Amino acid sequence: MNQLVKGVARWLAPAGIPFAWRQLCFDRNRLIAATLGIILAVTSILFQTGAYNALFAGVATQYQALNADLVMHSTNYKYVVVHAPFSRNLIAQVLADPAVESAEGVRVAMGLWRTPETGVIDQILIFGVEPSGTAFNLPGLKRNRAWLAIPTTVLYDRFSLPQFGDIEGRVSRHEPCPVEINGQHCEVRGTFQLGISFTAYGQVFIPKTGFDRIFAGLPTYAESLGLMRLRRDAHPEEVRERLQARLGPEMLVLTKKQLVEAEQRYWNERTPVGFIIPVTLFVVVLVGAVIFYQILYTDVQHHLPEYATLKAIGFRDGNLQSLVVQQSMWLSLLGFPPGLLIAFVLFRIARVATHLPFALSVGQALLAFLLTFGMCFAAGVLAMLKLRHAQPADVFL
Amino acid sequence: MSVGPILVQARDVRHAFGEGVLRKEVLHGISCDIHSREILIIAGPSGSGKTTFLTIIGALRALQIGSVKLLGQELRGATHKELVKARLDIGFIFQQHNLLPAFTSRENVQLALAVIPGLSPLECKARASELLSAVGMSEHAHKRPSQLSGGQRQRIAIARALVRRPPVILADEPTASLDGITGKEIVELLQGLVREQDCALVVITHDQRIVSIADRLLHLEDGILS
Repeated sequence: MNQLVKGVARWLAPAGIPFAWRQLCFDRNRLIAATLGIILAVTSILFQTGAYNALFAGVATQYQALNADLVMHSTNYKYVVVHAPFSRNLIAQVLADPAVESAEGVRVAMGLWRTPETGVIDQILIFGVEPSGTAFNLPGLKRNRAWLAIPTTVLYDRFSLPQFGDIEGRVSRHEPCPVEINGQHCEVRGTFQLGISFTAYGQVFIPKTGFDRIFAGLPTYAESLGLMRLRRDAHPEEVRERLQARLGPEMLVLTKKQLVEAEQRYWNERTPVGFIIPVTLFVVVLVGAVIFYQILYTDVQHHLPEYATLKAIGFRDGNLQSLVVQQSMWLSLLGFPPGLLIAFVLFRIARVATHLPFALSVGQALLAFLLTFGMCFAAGVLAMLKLRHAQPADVFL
Repeated sequence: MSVGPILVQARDVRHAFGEGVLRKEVLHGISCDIHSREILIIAGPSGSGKTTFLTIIGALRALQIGSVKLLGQELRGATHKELVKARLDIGFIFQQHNLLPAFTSRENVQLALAVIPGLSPLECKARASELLSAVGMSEHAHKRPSQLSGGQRQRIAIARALVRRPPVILADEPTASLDGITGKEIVELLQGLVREQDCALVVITHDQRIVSIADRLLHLEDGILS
């Protein structure tokens, strides 16, 4: 162990001089420029990762809020708004299972919302819920549930984009807020907080009676999703299998986690977005790697005469290569923390602007650091090829 | 002054640059021996091949034709690794001192010890300080090259070349960038230290003012030694 420590100390500070660090710090302007370059690359990578998370977590924002252990929907289902509804009788069927404590259905469809101030029409996601139900774990919904007894009631997601009008402002000022959905008069009587996604830039809850009124063309005795809450001692997977067998091949029973994953899989595998975002992330990483390489290559180029001198006085290529690797290491250590900080500030700004859940897990942050270090290291290794050109004989010219 | 055993033995050394019709031979079969405790000056005009010869016997350039034995080791056909190892027995003094600007005088001297295994940082520092004292630069140990005069920088470069106590010192125009008085001081210092350390000193120069320190003077012109 002692030998290892000595070895590392000797590697970091040959002859007691922290060579790489000192050389890096000598030219302050160059160091600042290099660090800024690394910060830029790190910020881009982290922000893009956060955006990736936001968009793919966002596709299942509504499902994450469901108050359910198991969910069922028709097998003829693509994603939250494109599906075939199923008969409400099936809710009664699953309630017959002793492990199911309660069950309810939710209707989901896209409606046309006329913005009160401008009269402009936009699409909005509409959930038809039971006034007495507990379909979503949302404080705003619980607080305003009583209003759902009135068929014209609309509860509005305050995270919807501004294009739907200043609904939140009017509700908070207790002003009447009449709106029009699918040409039907409604009244916004409360708000809740959920968040937007690929599917919808705005969303509302309305009572099922109101849903039937707004979507007069859709079958009335039907549901889009069936939500089941199980008894405490029930094993969700076992119950899921049992209900799946009972409901037959036309229905699909999933745990909430499976439902979220299925939605994310749909967007990831079956839409252009699922291709574009990872490719963008890849390009950002690539650009980051190029920035790292350019910084280290320029640095090596700048110090080439010094490296040639060191070679002449007996330094091996390996000694010099380890200096470049150390410089990569120091640069990644200098550039990552500010990059992380800036990314978090940007996440905050982006969350306020888009209501999308921009975030980064600890694992992803760690992975990004390793990626940064790896890219710096790889750039250092590539830049080291330049060291071959440091001919010791040239110092005599 | 009695000279010691042969440290460098060059035989029929030829060297050319370029290929095909552009090939130009700059050394035409040079032979000479360099002994321990000897100060050898190789003089000659610019472009005569002095520096090329110095880089070949200093294991900085691969030998094309002929033979060079450095401390008995043949450099002809030596691998890159063997050449690097051979350089550890040589102290180089460059015309432009070639000190590293990011480091202090002491650190520049210490760096030459970084390639010696088994030396602790404290030992490195002590030996560097010893050499700085020998070249009269103790007071400037903490200064960077940019804070020193040309003569002071060359003194640091001499300390760096001698700190490993190499048997052979090769100096390329060590006084070229110095004024007459400083140049004379530098070569006298070098002469004293070389005698003290019992090593061989090869100086290439066209500065006639310093030839008086030589035990032997060779003249190289158009790649031919006389």
